[in-house]
Amino acid sequence: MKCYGGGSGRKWFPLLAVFALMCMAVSFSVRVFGANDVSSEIAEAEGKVREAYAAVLDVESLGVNASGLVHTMNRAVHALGDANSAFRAGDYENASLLADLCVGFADDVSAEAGNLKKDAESRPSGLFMTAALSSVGVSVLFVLALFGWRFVKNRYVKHVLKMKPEGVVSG
Amino acid sequence: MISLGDLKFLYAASCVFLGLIILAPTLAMVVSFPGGEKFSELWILGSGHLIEGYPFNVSADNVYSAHLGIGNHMGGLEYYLVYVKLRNQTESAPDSLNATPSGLAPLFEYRAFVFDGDVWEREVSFSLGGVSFEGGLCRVSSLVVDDSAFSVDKVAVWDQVNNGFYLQLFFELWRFDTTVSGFEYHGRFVWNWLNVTRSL
Repeated sequence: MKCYGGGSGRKWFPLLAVFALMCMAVSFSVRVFGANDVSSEIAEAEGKVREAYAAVLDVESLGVNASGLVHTMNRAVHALGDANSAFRAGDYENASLLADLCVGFADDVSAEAGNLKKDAESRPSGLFMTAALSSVGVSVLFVLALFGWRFVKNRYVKHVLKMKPEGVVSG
Repeated sequence: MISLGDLKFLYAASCVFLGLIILAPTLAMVVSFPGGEKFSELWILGSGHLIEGYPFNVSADNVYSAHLGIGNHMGGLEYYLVYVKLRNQTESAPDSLNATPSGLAPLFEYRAFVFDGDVWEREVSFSLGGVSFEGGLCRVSSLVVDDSAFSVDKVAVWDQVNNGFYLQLFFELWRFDTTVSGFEYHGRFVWNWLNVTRSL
């Protein structure tokens, strides 16, 4: 009596195992875009944009030109706005991708703002430099004014002494 | 001839004037003068960036466009949000007097950071889909804004005064308030009435 079943099973086992492994790999790699997951991704993106905005305002208050940062911020919020719109339209996959894109831009802005803040803080502030120059200028002016007054006064006195008396004819 | 006392006064005044000129840059950085009125602008323009050529008679599956703009005069960098909403004649509109937004859910949205004294502008394209007419009613089941399709179930009743089925596409301006860390309605909205017609 021949038994075909057992031999055939052993033959197909490696192929089935490989197929099962592939299925597992695919199931891990494919993201399921549920409304709740995407909603929290968008909320995270909103939070990142708020952080980046606070960082930009912080850097701006130090007198740093933040136009480059704001350009990237606009790319972030453009993606965020589109993510929200896609979410409302029920396009969760696109919404998720756009939210991720927004997070990337916002993180870039936060990092760049941090660097700019460090640079700005390591340099003397514009106000300090201006105040120092003004102080030096006023001090120099004060000294020059004292000497200048002696010069002006001497010239005035010489001028007065050189004057000839004039007679006044009374009516 | 000027007296010595007058000369002294003139000299001292000149020195004070020069001193103020030297101190001016520092004073300008320290002293803040009251600015003008702080406000934001929101506008919608028709084709060619003019206050004409707005989409008015619209029919199903045709794409129309307008130009949406924001102007910032708030004195600093601002974060704006514009909600795009669609309503029929009976649904709630934003209240200009109380500065409250419409209770309708937004469909599309635009966000932008705008520097003080700067403007932001975008072309908005839209189309209506699933338009059907039945007696004195017009039903619109979808709105596409900038390639994003939204399910809307809007019913417009025949307007006997203005002869048409009217829907209003409107845009609300919201501003990010850093003190509350959230968006607040900024009391500005613009709209475009649409007369939904049968496709030719």
